[in-house]
Amino acid sequence: MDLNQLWQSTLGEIELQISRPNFLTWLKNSALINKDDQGMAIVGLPNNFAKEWVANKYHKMILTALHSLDESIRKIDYVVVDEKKQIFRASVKSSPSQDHQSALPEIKIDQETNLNPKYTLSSFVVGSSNELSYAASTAVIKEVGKKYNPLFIYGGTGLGKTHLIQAIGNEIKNKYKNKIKVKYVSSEKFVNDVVWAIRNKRMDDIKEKYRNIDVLIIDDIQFIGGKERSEEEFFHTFNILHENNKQIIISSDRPPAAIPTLEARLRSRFEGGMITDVSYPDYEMRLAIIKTKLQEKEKILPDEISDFIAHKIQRNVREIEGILNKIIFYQEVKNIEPTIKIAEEIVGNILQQSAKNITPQQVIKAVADFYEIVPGDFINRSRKKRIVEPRQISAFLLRDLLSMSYPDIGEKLGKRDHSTVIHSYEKISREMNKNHSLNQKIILIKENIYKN
Amino acid sequence: MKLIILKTNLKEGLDSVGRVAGDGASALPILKNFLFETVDGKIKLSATNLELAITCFVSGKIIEDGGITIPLGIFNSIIGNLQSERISLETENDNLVIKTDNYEAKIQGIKKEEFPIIPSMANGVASMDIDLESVRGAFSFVVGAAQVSELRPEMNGVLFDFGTNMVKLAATDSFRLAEMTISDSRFKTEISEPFRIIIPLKTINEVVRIFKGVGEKITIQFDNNQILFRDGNLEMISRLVSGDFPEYQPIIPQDAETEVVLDKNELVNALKLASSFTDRLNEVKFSAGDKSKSVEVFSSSHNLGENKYLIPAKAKGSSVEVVFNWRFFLDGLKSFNSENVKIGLNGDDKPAIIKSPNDNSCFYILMPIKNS
Repeated sequence: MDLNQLWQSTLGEIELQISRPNFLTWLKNSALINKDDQGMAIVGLPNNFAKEWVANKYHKMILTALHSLDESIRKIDYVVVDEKKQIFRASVKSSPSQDHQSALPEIKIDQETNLNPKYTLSSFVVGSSNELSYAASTAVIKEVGKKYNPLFIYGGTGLGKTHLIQAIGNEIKNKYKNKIKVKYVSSEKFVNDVVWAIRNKRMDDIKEKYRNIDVLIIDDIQFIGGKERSEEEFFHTFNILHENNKQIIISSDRPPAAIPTLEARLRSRFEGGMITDVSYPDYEMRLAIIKTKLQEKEKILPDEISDFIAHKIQRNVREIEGILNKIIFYQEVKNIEPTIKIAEEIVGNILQQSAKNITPQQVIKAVADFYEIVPGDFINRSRKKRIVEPRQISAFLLRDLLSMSYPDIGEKLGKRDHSTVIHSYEKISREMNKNHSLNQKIILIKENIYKN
Repeated sequence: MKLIILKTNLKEGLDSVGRVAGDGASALPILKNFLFETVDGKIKLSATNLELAITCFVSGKIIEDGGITIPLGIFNSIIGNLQSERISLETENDNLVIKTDNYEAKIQGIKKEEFPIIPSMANGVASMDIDLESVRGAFSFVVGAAQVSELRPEMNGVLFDFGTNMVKLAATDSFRLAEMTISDSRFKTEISEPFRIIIPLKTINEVVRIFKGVGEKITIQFDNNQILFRDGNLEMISRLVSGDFPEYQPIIPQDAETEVVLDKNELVNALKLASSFTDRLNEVKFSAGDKSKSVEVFSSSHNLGENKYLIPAKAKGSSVEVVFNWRFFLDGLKSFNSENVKIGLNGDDKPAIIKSPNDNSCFYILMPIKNS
């Protein structure tokens, strides 16, 4: 049995019992290292502080959780393990001629692409919701830097943006046998680099680092918005790469025009290339994704369960993967053939989990903030359009995220009849699938809810 | 808990533990607090950022045992501004009441049971007593050569290389490297096996900052993943950096093609002046020649102009012009105490070495900027 999976499920249970900061502080980077025939499990923690705390305060909780998942475990021992296995090895490369500060010999940093080889184009499931992005990607791979430059891919979380752009990088790397230098960075990393360089007065390092590459892949560009120096640096980098016909690939959770803090000159540059979106997969595609994932893991599930998951989880491919992992875990650890009932339970848990910390007030506030009105406006009886839409969206979200009953929602939104609420809910659900801008709005509001 | 304490004593204790509270990456609110408790008839203050923990005993009169954790920031500013010397402290549920003759404050605290448990060394771990001044001197000498780097976690610390008859301390950021040796007359230990550990930069800085006793010893103990420093009332326990420190021995220049000896303060002055005329690369040209009686420090900037400074020097070997980053150069020079320094150069693209002419215990290696 896989220790990692067992530990992930244990953590999943513990996470519900203790506060988030506590969970992150004490159990981040923990691992189940071993379990033996005598029922002794060994849990590794990153430092002595965590070890002391977990052994003294959480021992019972962890033992109960582990025991319920694997009955053979009766005792736990805690040890400290090295925080990071050494990832970066000193390597001696023939130094490229640089006219800035050279490093001491023997201790030079190996430049890497930062790509994760697990993302490949062949494991990317193509359907109507992402076929344009996919086509653009393959075109980019064929003619690097010539066809669509920059390539800008946007879409909600968990829909495969990162998969797709990393796959482009990997394919280019393999196809051109390392002759083309590829670099993948998250925009957070880029910002960190710029901040570091400003602090240490080494801006030239940054320029060197990012301008000597042939394919620059930047993930989640929306986070760069509003950070002026980073934007400026990125703007210059972008220009230089673009002028020299170097390929730039960018992902974001929304189109350039909808990133409010982004400077106009950057926006117009993004819009100068190819903009494509990945949107929610339809039912057939979700099913195809499940089948692909199962194939990768070499597992088989009854069709009715795949079918059930594809029906239930509509908005997030990552969640689909999470649920599959859990079901497979059941299959392996408990040796129970997964039934539709178990699947229902797991899916229910996941859907609830994401909603567990949200209150109706937060939802209403997020909607009000988005439309720049005060929550009190919902409650009065106005039928102005600018009030009606947010009210309907609130009703929809309260139902969708919190599964509140219709009469309850009516109560929250100013003593409205439950039939009105039903009408709002159905109207929004219907229009969401047709009206793209409404869909975008709802995604943004949801993000704000989860962020706070 | 109820006690009476003198302001000076309390402040000293707070200064010692103060820098680590609320300093770590964790979002846990209690880490902004410090732990105030009585242990075995003594008053103990502790703070931690989960990488480093400092505990400190202060003297005072204990009327009733107990303990509580309180936010360091507000407590510090109250104690700092109080006029009275005598302070009475008392816990009341989860609050701490501070009283003087004419002042009273109540601070909301958190139960002491919620405070992280500070790890301790197992019994019987071998220890080492080192002369405090030597440790502080060596730590301050090498620490300037390191910079926090995300890419090379093993370089975010100072190497403590124990070789039974000496301890070598070294730090590098891959552009420069500093090393200092502490000879065995300066320490006593029963440890007989050589070992190498890496101590985090923050820990090094805190050791230099808070351990101040003059002419005293400091006790060091360590195991696989933590190190403890102890001296009288103070105790600091820190994690160690994992990974292997770069093998730097091969890059230490053995001999020099050009060697100059010159007044350190003159050179510091020259570099500071030259720094006015540098642009972002911080380039300063350093020229020395055979039999010449002086060394030239030259810098220029496209927009500003140029300047040069002549320093009397004793030089031997071939003539050379080397470009350095003046900041790195200055960092290294400043850590030397001697009047003169000896600089060994090997052409314009190999590391230069700075030493004190009559002291072989320490050196600073610096990479040139390639002359374009």
